[in-house]
Amino acid sequence: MDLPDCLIATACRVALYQSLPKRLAWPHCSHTAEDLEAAAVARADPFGGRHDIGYPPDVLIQAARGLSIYWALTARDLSALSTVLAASWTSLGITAGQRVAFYDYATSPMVVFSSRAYVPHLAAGAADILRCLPICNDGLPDLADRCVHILEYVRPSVLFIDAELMNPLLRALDSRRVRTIAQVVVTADEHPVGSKQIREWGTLLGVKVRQALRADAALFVAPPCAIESMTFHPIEDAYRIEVLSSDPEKVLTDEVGRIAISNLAIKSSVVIRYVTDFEGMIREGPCKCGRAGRRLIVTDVG
Amino acid sequence: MSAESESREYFDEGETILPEMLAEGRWNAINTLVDHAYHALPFYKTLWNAQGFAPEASMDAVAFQKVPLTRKRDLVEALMKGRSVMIGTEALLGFAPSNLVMTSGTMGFNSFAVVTDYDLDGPSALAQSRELWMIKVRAGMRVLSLSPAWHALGLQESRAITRIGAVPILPWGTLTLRFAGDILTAVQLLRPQHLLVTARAARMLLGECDRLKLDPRRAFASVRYMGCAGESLSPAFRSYLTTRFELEDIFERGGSSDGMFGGGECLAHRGHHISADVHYIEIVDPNTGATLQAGQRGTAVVTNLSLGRSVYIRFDTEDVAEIVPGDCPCGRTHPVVEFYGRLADCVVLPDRIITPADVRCLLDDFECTRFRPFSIDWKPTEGLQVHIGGDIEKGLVERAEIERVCETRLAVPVAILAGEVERAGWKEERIRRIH
Repeated sequence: MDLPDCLIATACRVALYQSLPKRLAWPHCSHTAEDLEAAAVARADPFGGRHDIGYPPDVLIQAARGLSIYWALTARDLSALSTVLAASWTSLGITAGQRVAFYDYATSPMVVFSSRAYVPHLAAGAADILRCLPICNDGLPDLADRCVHILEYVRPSVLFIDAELMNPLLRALDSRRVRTIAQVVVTADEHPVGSKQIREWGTLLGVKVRQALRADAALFVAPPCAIESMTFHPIEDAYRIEVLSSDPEKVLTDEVGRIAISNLAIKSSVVIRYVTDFEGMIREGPCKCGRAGRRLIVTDVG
Repeated sequence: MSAESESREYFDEGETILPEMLAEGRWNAINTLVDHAYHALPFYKTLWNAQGFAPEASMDAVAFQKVPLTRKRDLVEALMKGRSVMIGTEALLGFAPSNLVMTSGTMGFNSFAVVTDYDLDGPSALAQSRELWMIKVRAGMRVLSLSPAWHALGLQESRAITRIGAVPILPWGTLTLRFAGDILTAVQLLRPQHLLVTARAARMLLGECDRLKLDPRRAFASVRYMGCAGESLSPAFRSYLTTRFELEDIFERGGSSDGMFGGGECLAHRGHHISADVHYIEIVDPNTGATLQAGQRGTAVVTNLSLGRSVYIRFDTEDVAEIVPGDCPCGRTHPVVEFYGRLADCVVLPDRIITPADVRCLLDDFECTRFRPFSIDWKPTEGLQVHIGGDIEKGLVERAEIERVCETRLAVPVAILAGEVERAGWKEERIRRIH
């Protein structure tokens, strides 16, 4: 799939894309988290060679948990990302006036771009755009009781939760004999949860549990299809999604491969063909849910 | 960072406004607030009616003291009874609520509050911007900030950083041990000039440096200033942090998610300047409820002077504090308040309050007990029994002298004992009352 010319042009200005190892089967600019770390070390560059120095940053944020790479983002980028997040929320059915709770760290992209009060220099977060009321617990497992407290008294319409916190939450709900009425949206950075697990959680909670696809090192989030399991609808204007061979030395022999993401929303950090840890396929044309555009079907789960 | 930005002392002219003008503004605001609360905020109307209080025509210092204190338990009871986050303290003035925040839950039950953009960009951002400016945060400066999103002061900090124009650094996670490595790495790679952390996090970062055999002066070479929240710093600990991180200055920060107010130290390090045009702080005797004079310890009672948020009116934070008497050499006219810890962790005697911070200060003056974790038992018949954790073989060689100094300064019998105590820091150091 062709990338926009402007993105190709920025690749010429940004160090990472000049220094990547050659891979026979992967297209130009494809890179992994390991490539980012290697570039960071080789160039002593905490941004992994992705920062376009033409854009002085307003905010520096660690790109992903366990990855010592940082985003250098301008206020404009923050706004662009919250617009993307708001579009994802809309796909999830979140509307004005609803209360939205988070059981995640304040530095998670699912949280950061949700409120102008959560990160400096953000003009309007997703909740501000959609006129929702957010509340954030922290992301520590031992704060599960407090999350239950939020569910009990705030009664949010939606709870966004990191997948690793589901079991602590379930235990806390059980021990306090509380049930939630919130729709639960699970996310897991580059390690999507299988549909069986999602169904099990839904059964245990007695509410709708869904999953949004997330790849923090590309600032990527995609809402789930309302009908098709493990199918996600990336925001078309914000991302280009491609399938690459699982082995960078071999050409793609079938439709399934590793998912590469280019981020079209941000300017100050350049993300071209970030190769995620998950595999899947891409389908064009109308989806059963009625949405048009490209959709991503994840085929492997941890 | 411009030279002007670096050298300008005050964030705004309001910081040096004449005390008479501050007082006039305060009573005007309180008149509006009390009237609004009585007529439009069900929580206060119910609370005050139950205690037979109705506002007088005009509020002054005497009349205001008749306004019943709001206790944490009042908020918790209202929340439990209504089973809703909206308990009738929300003075939103028609502004849409923008965020829900939580208290720290010191009663084992978190209450909630509502904020609006009107407040976050207005009075609260002003107070927080003054605080950050006071502790040397400047435009263009890289500032490591990991403020939690559940805490009102975290939200205010975020808006204040925006207002000042500093560049925040946000490592992954939160200020706990599991993220010490992420924070340390961010400091080394992104080279902030300022750290906004907790005292506990500062200890944790030093521990991480020690574990990795890193010299903190090198790892933190870019850092000039540290804003340290969460506990009262002993002079020895302050000096220790300054030396080990090789800081130009360290500033204590303090405040409360209960009451949604805070303040930082100026260069004089006498306590926390609280913006008196945003919050009114009284110190109240925990036994009698009487308002105390400057220099006397009691609990901090806060009244938020601006609407457009959940408001706290004569809210007893149950934090031990005193207003520091005298003018501040920095020239700011806003009161300086020193915080010492939670009342529940202290010994309240008829004539004074002994806090864990008092004991901490004294212990930190002796090498064998310096910075060691401790716990304290208070027995009315025997006095304080201070259990010192750590390596007892090396420690406590100065026991008699420590006991003598403690007894002299605290005016109660003190026994220093070796104990199995592992946790240090304000929120872990408590005085357990044994009857």
